Amino acid sequence: MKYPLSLLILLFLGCETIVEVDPPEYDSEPVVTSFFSPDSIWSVTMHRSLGITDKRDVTREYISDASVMIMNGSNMVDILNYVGYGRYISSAGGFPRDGISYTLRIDFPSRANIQATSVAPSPVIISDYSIEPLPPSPEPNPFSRTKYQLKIVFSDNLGMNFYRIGVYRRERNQNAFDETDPDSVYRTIDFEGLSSGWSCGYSAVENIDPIDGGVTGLLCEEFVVTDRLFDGKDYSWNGITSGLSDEIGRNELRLIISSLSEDYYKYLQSLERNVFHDPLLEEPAPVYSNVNGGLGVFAGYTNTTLVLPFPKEN
Amino acid sequence: MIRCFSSVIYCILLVCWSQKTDANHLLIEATTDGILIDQQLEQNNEKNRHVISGFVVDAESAESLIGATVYVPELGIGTTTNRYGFFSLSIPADSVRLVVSHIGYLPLTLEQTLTEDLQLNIELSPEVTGLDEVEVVAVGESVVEAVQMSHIKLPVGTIRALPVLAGETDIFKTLQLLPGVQSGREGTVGLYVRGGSPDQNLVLLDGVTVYNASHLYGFLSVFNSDAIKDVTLIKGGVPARYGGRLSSVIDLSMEEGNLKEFEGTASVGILASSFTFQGPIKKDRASFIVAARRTYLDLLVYPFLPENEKAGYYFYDASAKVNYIVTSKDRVYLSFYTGRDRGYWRDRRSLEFSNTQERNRGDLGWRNLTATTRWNRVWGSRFFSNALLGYTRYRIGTRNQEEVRQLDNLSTIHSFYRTSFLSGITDIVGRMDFDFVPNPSHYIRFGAGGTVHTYNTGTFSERKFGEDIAPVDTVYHPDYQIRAVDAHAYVEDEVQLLSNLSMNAGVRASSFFVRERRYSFLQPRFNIRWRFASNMALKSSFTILKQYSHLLPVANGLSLPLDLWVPATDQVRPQSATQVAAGLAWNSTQNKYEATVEGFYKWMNSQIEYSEGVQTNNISGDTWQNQIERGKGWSYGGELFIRKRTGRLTGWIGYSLTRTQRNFPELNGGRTFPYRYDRLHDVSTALIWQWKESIEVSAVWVYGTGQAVWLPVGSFYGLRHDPGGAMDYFEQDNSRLLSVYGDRNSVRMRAYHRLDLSMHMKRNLGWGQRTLSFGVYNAYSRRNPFLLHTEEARDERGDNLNYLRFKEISAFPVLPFINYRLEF
Repeated sequence: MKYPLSLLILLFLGCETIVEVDPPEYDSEPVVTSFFSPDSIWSVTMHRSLGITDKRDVTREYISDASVMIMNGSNMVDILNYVGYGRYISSAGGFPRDGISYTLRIDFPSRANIQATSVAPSPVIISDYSIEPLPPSPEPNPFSRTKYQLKIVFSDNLGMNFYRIGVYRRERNQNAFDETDPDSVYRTIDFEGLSSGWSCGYSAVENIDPIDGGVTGLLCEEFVVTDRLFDGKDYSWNGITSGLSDEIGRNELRLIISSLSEDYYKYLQSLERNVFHDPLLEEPAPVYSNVNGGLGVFAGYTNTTLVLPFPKEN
Repeated sequence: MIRCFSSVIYCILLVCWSQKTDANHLLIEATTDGILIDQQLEQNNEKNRHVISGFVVDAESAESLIGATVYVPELGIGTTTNRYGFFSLSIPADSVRLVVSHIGYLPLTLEQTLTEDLQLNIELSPEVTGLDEVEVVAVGESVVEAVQMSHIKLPVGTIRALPVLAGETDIFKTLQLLPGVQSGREGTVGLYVRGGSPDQNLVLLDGVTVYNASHLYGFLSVFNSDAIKDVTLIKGGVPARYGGRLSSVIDLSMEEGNLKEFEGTASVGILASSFTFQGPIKKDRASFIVAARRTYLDLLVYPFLPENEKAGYYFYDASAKVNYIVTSKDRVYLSFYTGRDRGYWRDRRSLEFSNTQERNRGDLGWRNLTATTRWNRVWGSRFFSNALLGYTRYRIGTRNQEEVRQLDNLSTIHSFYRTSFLSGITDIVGRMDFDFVPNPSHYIRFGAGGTVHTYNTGTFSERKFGEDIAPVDTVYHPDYQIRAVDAHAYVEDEVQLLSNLSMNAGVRASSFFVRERRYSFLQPRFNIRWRFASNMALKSSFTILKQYSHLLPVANGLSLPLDLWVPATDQVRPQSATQVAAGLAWNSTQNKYEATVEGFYKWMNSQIEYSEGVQTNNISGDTWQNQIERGKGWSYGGELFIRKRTGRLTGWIGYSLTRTQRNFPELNGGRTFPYRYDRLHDVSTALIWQWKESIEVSAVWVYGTGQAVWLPVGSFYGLRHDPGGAMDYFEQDNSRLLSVYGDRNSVRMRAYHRLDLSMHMKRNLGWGQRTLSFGVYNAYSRRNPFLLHTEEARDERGDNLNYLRFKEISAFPVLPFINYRLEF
């Protein structure tokens, strides 16, 4: 709705010029990013933010001199060591556990310490799933590919919960012979309606209130949802994949349902709105942060993974 | 503290008032101008009083004149006509000299011998535009005489004479030139009165509310000035008879139609054309007026579009009114207004290789509709009533549709996807208002009424089907409506406490019933005037106002039609405001010049704003209640208004010095921030020069402090976690910067200023008059900022998107216009 409107309004407007503006003074802040789950060892990345008029390359503003600790209450859980490019990882190879509240504490030599707390929620239990190819279009189309109807049923616990549902397919590295090459990666696959234009996020998944039922991931390939409409009940998720070629990648899909902490959900939501903010029609959306004394997010999640073999077409 | 102090002052005044009115034996000496008033004597004279009442009308058209002054110079008493042209004046003498005047009309002096109450229909002749006559034209009630403060009447002739965007006369844009009224973004018609938001303006057209007063995405207002007779703006000291909004009243009266002869106008401009036609249905008894306007942007653009693409935009508005004098005491009005805007686009692309055709279409439209029936009755020489039954409806809808058809058989649809959104508000209004003039010291107004509101806060529907698509045909929040009833009663009295001290005191009681919740409030309203010299008066006002509707803006301060009207609910309280104001009014001899200086302080509670990061285009049904924050606001400032009302050169200079702030616990970290349209300095100058008898030249110059905007003050490199792979910089090119926002509205755009010029050349054609108008908007082509935003920029090496820079969009460079108007 808003994009055509922007275009129409801009028809009436004049030229665009780059201007010098004197913004309020801004002191650089540490930016902390850590998504932790029971599947991965502790890891934190730290950058430094820059003022709007600062022309330095913000992508290289690494913070390397911090002391990073993971706490559980007053108990030290792990110490993270700097490994370069702003990244700190567990010195002991420790893994988080779900359901436990962790606090990230970062001390700096020349400024006040910063803290953030989050939890990795319990994993989702998938009670049923199916994947079926849809019959091909009766009209010949040289570009048509097989689409799959995917159905998943899982139980939701009482209370506010947040999920991200993504379906991935391993894609080979462009220079590799096949997808077994170690540089090949899993990529998200598109779902009908989630990937096109302004309607992104509205309609691909049934049983979801399109207004407030969820948000999409940044690229509209993942579905992020709250349990507002199915709190404490079984939740059935249906989606139709975009056409998938049989010729590329393994004949399997990897379904990952991430049980997200609220911090994670709010961060994702605000990322989308920060990045895709329409300056003409919308108020700006600051990026959510639960980092006390800095920017960024410390957020837990727990994955439940299911490998779905492609069913044979009839 | 200030509120308490003001309340105490008014309580004292109230006591004085009650003492005077309840105890007629009280002797009061007013020594300031040496006049002794003997109340007991006055009571004895009551028996010798006679009442002159009636209507003041235009001599040529017999249309009633609003705000005409009826004055007895020898006694120093007078009154003004109400919005139906009615007046009532109680006179303690057997013979009097009445002076009747109104702006734009020659004053009339009547000598009357009174033996009994007298009903008069007074006809005033319009001024003959000429250099000799302009000096003697009367100007109606002076700013010193009026008890009401912070109100300005704008003659429609003045509005028509001033230059405007694209030559389209615009009432709202002229109101923006008044002190205390700020415009929104460049060229838009949003009104921000004394720090309030656009929804806090009560826009009344013949007594019923118009909810969205904008055409062309906010760049024009919906009112065709050819069909409007009177415009009054009240920005403070709002009397008790008005309610439902916090910041201002914009009271518009439509023309009634010429009771004597047929006449009309036709106007052609570069943006739109319009016409009006009016005349008697039955001479001196019934009349009609019809008016219509349409833009032709769509027709102009159409030939330049490719064959497979269609896009356009148009608006129109039409109004009609019938006025019937049933008896000398009864008069009935029927009025109707409708206006519509529609933007649309279509495109078709045929893809031979896939034997398909893609079709896309979108529509955006909104519509206002009002209908009013009014019945005036004069119940005697002192009593006047008006009954109103009204209907107003505002609807906004959007639709987007994408489909793929088979190229060699277009009836075969491969896929179809459509979404639509609808919202709006409908009111049914019933009201009775009474004017009672017991004696020259009192002008009592009272009344009661109710409004049934039906809010549709958003219905979203979706339909899709096709090959490999699970069909969906769903309406989310179908017929989602919130019904609410707003009931009110009021009483106000404009009372002369002393010969030089007058007050308009009133109270409005209102209740709002929504779902299971009821809100009830008493809203006291006071205006007081102390005329300490013949041409100077001190004025003060104190008002408490409630507003039961909120407007959720979809766009960032653009006042777009998509903004959503929502009611106060059990979760969202009604808005409230308390305003105190004080000022000095002065006018010169014969009211040639007038000036006012006013200061005000306004507190606003239960203000709402979207929560941070809410996607405003996804609001529908009840969901808005979970996506807003509640807070408070305040504004304070001073205003200077100097106006020259007669002579070859007329016009005004206005200056406002205002601060407007908001505080929301959940926004901006709980810190106070400037409101979107906080503008410290605002200057406007409007001048109209009658150069020759047939040539009028006008100029407008405005200056405003740069708009406060919320922009990034820093940036950082954002990370996103992809559960399917390793942690990665998000976006495919590893290049996403995220913005760090500072305090809300902490950045200022450049100052705004603009000069508009126009010239109107009139020529008598024998059977009528033609006016050729031309001019320029933004004469020195100032690139005024419309929007300031940031964009990612590459460093000199060009290998990274690694800093943000500011970019400004400016609107409307120098724009010439021409307009041709015929009056017959």
